[in-house]
Amino acid sequence: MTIDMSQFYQVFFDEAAEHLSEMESLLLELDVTSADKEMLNAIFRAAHSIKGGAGTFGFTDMAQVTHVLETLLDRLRKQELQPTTAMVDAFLDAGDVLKAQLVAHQEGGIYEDPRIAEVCGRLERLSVVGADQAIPATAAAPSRQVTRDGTPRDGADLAPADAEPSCPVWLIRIHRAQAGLTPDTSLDGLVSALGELGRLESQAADANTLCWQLTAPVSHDQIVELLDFVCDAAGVQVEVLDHSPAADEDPGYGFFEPLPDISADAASVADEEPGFGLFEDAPGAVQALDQEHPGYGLFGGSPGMVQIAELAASTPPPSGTGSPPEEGRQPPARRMPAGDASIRVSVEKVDQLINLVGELVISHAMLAESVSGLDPVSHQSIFNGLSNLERNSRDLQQAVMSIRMMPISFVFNRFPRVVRDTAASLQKKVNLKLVGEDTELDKGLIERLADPLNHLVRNSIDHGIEPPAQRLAAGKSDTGQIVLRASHQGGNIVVEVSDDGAGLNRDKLLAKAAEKGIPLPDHPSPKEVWQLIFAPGFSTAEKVTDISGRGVGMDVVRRNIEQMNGRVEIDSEPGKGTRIVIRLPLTLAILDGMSVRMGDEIFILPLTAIRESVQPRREQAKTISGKGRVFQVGGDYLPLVELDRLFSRGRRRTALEEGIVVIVDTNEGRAALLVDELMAQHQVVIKSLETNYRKVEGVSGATIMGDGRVALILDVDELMRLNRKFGFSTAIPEAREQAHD
Amino acid sequence: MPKTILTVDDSASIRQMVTFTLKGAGYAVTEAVDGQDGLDKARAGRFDLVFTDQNMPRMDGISLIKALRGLPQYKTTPILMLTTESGDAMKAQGRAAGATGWLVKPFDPQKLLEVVRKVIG
Amino acid sequence: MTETPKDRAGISGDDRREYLTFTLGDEEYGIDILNVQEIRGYDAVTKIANSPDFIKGVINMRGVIVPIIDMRLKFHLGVAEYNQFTVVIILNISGRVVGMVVDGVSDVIALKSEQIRPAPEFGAILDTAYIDGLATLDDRMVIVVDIEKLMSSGEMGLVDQVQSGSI
Repeated sequence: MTIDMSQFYQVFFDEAAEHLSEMESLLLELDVTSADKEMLNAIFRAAHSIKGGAGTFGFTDMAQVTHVLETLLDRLRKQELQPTTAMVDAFLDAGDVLKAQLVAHQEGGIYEDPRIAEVCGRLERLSVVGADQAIPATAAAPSRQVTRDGTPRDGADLAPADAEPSCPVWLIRIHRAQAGLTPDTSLDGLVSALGELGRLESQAADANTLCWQLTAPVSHDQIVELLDFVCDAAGVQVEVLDHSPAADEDPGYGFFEPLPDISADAASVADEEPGFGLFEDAPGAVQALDQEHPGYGLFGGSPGMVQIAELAASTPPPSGTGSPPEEGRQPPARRMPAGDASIRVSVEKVDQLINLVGELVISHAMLAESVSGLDPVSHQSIFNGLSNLERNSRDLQQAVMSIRMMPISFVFNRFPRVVRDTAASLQKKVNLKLVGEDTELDKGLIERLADPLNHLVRNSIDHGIEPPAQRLAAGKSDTGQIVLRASHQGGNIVVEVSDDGAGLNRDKLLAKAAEKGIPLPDHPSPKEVWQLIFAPGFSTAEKVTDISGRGVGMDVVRRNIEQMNGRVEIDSEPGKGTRIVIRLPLTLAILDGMSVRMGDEIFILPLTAIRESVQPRREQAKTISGKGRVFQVGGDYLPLVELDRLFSRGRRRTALEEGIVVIVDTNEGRAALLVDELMAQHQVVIKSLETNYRKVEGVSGATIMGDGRVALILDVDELMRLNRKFGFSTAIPEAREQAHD
Repeated sequence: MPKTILTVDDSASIRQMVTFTLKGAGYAVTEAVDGQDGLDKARAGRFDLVFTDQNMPRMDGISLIKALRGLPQYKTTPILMLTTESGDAMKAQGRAAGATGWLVKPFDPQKLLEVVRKVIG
Repeated sequence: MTETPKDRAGISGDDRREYLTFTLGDEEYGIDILNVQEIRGYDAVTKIANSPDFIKGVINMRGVIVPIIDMRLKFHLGVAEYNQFTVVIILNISGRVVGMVVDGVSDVIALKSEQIRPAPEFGAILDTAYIDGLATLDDRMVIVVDIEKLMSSGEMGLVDQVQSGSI
């Protein structure tokens, strides 16, 4: 029976990635001064699980790294060694190496890099340092295993620990004194290095001599070379053993025997029936005897042996050697899914599904529109059918969309490491708190959120959090705090990056703005000042002050967020800290919108941008200093954005009082958008104009309406920009004061 | 009635491989994600064979074996421990806890089937 | 109204290629039929703000948003009327779908490469840079256009040209 192991690879990849990120976050949490035993255990377990899977699925390079990693972790959790920062660093680096190896395997390659050897070496050295006793516990007693030739197997799938049965067996003796070893010399490194070659067994250990038996496909010279690192060749003796039953041992194969020196019996049994000979004996005997097979064993006299013995007695003895005895009886391997968990599909397929469902929703809308003229009573079945269709397609749409939803922890989880590294390089103390990691959002958004968040977090550490001394002087704890928080608010997802650092410096920002020639009103509000850091080129390489540096690349952050139909807000209080809030739609594929009419055209206005609508009166519109129109609502004057003017190069068609004003939120603050008519609320499928055309200013995309026509989706932030271009109006913060003049 | 096997392992890939292999050979397989889950599932049913990993969150393999042997319906059920540690110490612990035998990780599907056939036919 | 000439673009043994010919003003043009996805009538378009007037707007073609260009407006061939006879050739230019309004579609012709002669500098509507050559068929002269080159050119404004500062 051959089973294609590659079918399990994906699960292993996912699982290993999970373990790696878990290991990393545990390591980052680990307090080396008072390490929590449970935490060490959990870290060990993660490494151990990766090793188990890697070995099983044939990723021997990963198995090797995790082996070294696990060895040191094992000593830590057994409290033989105290964790140190150097160890945590080495563990993190090993994690990075493993990640790289994992990625390489996923792409069908192998990660080859000197880093691997470097990290493994470092881990080995660390597990040697401080080691007291010469030999690990496994060296306690002479081997009592009986061995024999195993069954054929795919050696390629096996970790090095499972050496080929035909491997030579080496006996390695080291005379401690002659080899220049003191009782304090640790041999853990050597033991694990030898263990990497193949199967290593301690043969005997007395005060003067060490003895191992190594079953591995290596040459005499290779072993000597390895030993050379640790001890003088004079005290070393390496010889190949005869193929005596005791020596011709298969890795991990065998039955335990109840008595230590029953080897003669076992050997004779072995001679009779290589592989499964013990089962030929009487049930009672089998029950009493330990059985050791390649890779597994049974404890003689243990609970459960009665049943096995009964079974053995009722099963005809196997004939032939070298293959599993019941081969002929084996049902053919059925190609069926393992019946659970997950399947892996490409994002393209999911997106295609989403598109098709979007088409379905549109088709429904078109159908509904074309039958809308029919008499509902005489066509009741059509209308019933349509309403069922609508419900089903909405459900389907939601279900399909949910495929793309992922918890934000996928992007949050990288930040403990980012914070640790960044803080360390700046010699600052920073504590990171993650809130709402389970909040789900579209996979596409998650990927695109990573960069901006990374930037914001680094900036917070670099320019927000003060150095420890300065913090103490300010009466704060020397450790700064950064909080990453995600939550759902209405149809939006809100991601916050906040720090308890120095906050933004209004005066410095204003000075910088003046220097850069960025126009600002006479008495800018705090928000307008903070918003400056997002201005293009506001702060460049020149690092003037701690605050101005914060602007490096912040315009890119804002642009990235805006491309996701999101917006960024900033809030800061001197001495208390800074908070940056990112608002995003849940998905890039569907939008809740309001259809608005302007002339003959229908546009979609995202609901997230809409605050309210106002029936305008002529006197509400004012012209400021001859350069811009504003709209008065309540006590505020908002920039008036006349859609028709913008979309027809300044020509004006609609009188103010004939249209309707929608108050919208833009990244420059509120604005009044004049349209002809508000139509209806829709959930629309977002389509890109750029697929076949190009970017259109003021428009974020297009959708298809119920009648089959295309409607453009408005982008209020870009409309503000267009307004400056065509609308003869500028953003006029503090318009209130000017208007009162 | 197919023979029933409980496989207890915190690694989803190993579980999947075990399940696939054994189901393909006609056994009924139940998966448990850690010792505690294994114990709960074992209590709720009666399995002909239990495979358990050693290092697992919540409850490790040795504790699971001990707990299972404390249940009347598992007094004589074969319980095999999966372990990457083929060391004598671990085996001794397993034996003391009441394990029937051990299987070294990494193992391949052939090996797994070989053991299962030997133990429960 | 809709037919797919692509289906008829059979594989011929020699180096003959098939061209769809259409008229613009008094001239007849031919384009490689492999670039033609379908021919359809003129539907209501959604206007695109602040775009040149020869870009009529976008239409929904089975869920795909397709821009429509009026070649008559582009090349200033008098008033372009839209009626039930107005024809839109839907082109596929390296994966991008574009609709092109012309005066009329006339024929599918097969031309051997030697039948296409280099175009002299002459006063065609189209810039010679986009013209592969001239072919004479019976007593008609067909201007063979490199439609891919034309549609991808900056002059058409169909694709975003090298990033110009948008802010």
